[in-house]
Amino acid sequence: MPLISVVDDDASVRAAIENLLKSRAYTVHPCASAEEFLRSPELTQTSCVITDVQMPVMNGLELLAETRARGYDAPFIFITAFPDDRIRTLASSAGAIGFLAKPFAGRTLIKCLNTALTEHRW
Amino acid sequence: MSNQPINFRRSATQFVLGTITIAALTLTSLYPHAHLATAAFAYLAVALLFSLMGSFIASGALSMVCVAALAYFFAPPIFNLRIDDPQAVSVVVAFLTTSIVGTHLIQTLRQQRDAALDTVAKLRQSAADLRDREKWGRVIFEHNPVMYFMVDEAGTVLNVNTFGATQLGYAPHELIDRSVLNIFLKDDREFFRKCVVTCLENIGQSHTWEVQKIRKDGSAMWVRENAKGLRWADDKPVILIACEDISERKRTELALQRSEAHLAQAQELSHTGSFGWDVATEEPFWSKETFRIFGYDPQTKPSPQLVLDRTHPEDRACVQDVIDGARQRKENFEHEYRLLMPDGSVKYIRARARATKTASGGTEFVGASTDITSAKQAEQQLRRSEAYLAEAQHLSHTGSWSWDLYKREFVYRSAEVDRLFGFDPKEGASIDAILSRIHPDDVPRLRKVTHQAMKDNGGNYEYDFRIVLPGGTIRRIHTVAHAVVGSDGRVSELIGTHMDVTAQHEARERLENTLVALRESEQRFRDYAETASDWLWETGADHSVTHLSDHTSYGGILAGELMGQPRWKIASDVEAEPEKWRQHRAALDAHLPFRDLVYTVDRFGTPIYIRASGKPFFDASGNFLGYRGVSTDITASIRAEQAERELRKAHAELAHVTRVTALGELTTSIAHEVNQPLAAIISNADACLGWLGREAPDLSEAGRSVEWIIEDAIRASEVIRRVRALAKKSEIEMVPLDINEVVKEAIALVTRELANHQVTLRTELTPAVPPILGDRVQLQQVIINLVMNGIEAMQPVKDRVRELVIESCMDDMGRVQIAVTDCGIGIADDDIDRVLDPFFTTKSSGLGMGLSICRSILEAHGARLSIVRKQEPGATFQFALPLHKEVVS
Repeated sequence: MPLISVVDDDASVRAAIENLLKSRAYTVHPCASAEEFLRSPELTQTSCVITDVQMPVMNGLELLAETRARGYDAPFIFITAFPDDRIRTLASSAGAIGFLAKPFAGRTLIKCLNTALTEHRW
Repeated sequence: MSNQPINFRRSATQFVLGTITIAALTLTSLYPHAHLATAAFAYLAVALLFSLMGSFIASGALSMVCVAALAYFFAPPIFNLRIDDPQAVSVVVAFLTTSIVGTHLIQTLRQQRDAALDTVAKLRQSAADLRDREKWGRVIFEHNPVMYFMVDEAGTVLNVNTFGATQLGYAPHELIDRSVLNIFLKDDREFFRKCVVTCLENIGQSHTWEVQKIRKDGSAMWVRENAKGLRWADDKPVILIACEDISERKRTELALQRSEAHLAQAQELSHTGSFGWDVATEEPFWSKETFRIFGYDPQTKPSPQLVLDRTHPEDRACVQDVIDGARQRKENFEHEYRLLMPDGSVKYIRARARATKTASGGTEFVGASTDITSAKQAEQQLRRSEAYLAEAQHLSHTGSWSWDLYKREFVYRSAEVDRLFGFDPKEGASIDAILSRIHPDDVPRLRKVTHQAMKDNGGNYEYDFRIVLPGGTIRRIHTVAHAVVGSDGRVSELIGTHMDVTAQHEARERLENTLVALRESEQRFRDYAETASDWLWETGADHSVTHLSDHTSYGGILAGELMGQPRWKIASDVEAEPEKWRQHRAALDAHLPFRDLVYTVDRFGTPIYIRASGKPFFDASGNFLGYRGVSTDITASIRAEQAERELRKAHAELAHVTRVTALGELTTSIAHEVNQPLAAIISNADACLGWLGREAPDLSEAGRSVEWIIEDAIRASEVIRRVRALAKKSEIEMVPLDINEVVKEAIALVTRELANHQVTLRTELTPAVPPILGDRVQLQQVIINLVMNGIEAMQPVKDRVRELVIESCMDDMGRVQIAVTDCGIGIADDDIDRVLDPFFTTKSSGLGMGLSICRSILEAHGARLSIVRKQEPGATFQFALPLHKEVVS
């Protein structure tokens, strides 16, 4: 099973997503911040990154840019509590597979994840 | 006795011649050898011859010589004194006998002849004397300066000498043969008659008396008359009177008597007794007054001891010293001492004595003792009254003085004058020193007074001046002076009094100030009363208004309607508030005082609010007469209260609006805060389904998912509760609060906002601060507002960490202080004073109400929002909240 990294500074949201993905038998690597993810060895093995947009120090978009800059092309799914169009556009243009507004339905996330993993397979 | 030497010379001559003759006879006889008898005869003849010369002794002696010669030369033996012949002896004896007898006879004859001659001469002399004497007697009678009168027993003047008549202004013939009584005073005539009778009864005896005679011109003359009764021719008795003018002596005598009487009287009046004291004889003389002073019987024999006996025991030693000293030194003395009289009274005596030399060379003191008791008492009285006066002057701060206008000096000044000028009276300040203390501004006035006094012819002056005491204290003096006109008609002195009126002056100033203040106050109260809406009223027993003070609210319109009406007839709220009026009327009927009855009166459709208080009043016998009280138009304050209430409401609404606005600004943050737990809940729910939907459902995981769901749901509802609380439009609720809790809750709402703007929050909350009294929501609004401002201020900051610090602590005054510090752009100098004003903003968007509202909220909490700028960038907004009173107390 592919490794899914979840980056969110909100512990309960992070735990809930981890819980959801584990119930669907995914392997999950939770990170509290963008820096933690970048530092972690799972960076190279991650099949998909699910990240919050609004985070202190480094936000989700910056994390995407940094990951690409480091030469990793794992698909990104953004989740945000501030679903404004400006950020959605920025996320799409940066190559995000999905953009979900909190709160989102679990199956939407799963569906989006499956899409990302499928597309990434080639 | 003068003829004794003559007799002796004659006897000697007689003897010598006789002896020579005998010697010659003897020689003659011897030559012829004459016979004894012959010789004896011859000798006898010589002896008898010489006896005629008169001296019997010489004759005797001659006879003896003859005897011797007979015996020697002629009786045998010759040339021997021995006689042998008895015949011879008989011859010699016969010779001796004859010689002696003859001599004696001759002597006797001579003496008889001499006596006869003497008698004749005497007779001749006395006849001449008699003639002379008669002549002298007449001269004396006529010219002796003694008046002679000769009167008969009937008193008729027989003779008077010219002197006597002249003295009385008469010619002698005008008096002779007239009654002598004419020249006596009628009153003295009887006396003279008696004198005459006395003289006649005692003829030959002298009588003397003194009487007055009347001159022809009627004037009187004192005479001393020496009279004697005589038998005159025909044995008729006459009286010869010699008169001597004693007018002068009499005058002297009378004068002496008078002066003696005067002296005695003077001594008595002056209480001065005189004394004389001969130290040698120790026999003093005391005048009558001296006896009286010392309280002794005038019959007592005076002595120094008597003085000592009377002397007061305390003074006795001194007096003894004086007496002893006088005895020894014999010098003048003077002393004062007291007598203790038998009745216990005390007399003061002053004695002075002068030492004089007596004829015998001793010392006699002549002096005077004066009873000075009354003077002493007067002196004591005077001293006492002077003391009283001084005391009175001292007490009344009044000094009296007399000023010599020409010499420019004090003739007299009482001690109090010195004291008024701040000098010690004992030291005797100089004129210059005194004048130098007169206030310089007052000197011209005083000078003017003295000049005026010299010009005026007497007059009274009243003026005030000031004395500057050392140290600068001012003493105010009121002076009353009077100009004294001297004997030369010129004003020489000013006499007057200085009175210290400082206290009165101050009192008057105070009074004047008080009066001014009172007038001001009166005016003020009149102004108040006339402008205020208070008025005084009085009602009768029927509660209708009888009196109203002049000024009433709304210009008397109300007054006119009130008169004669009970209160409830003009009130407009009687129907609306029946219970209030029922209670009020019950109180009135019970004659109870009432306070702060508020009712309304309709005025042109607008209610006027009146507050009335009153108390009943009664007559002397306790009968109810009515009410007196005060009413106030409180419409304005009622309206003000209403307005304030409205304002408070508006304020709260404004605060709410801004709060909601702020919440609007926080929408995204708040949505995030809500969406996070919702997202977690949904995810966990899906996960739960996932765990359950497995071939082998993992119930444990599913259960854990449900637990998380519950936690996140609670978290979401908590956020919603806070937002609701802030958005709620509620009344201000002041409750004791822990400010740290308030801060933490506020932070919960802005956490996301802080994160979004990359702002790090640091809180330094002092644990366990005492509770404050406040409204939780409004205080949170303030904190959120300050945090949001801080975040905004730090937006431009790129080069440093954006840090926001929230502190709570206790300030110096025991209040709880909250400070919110950012490190942003800070506040421009121009803006610092306006930053708290409403509608001031530096933002492109925003109403600018945020800080203004914060300030209002904090002021309602008794706090003040202040801005503190520090060295480092940024700004600190802080406020201090008073502690909850219950805790403080």
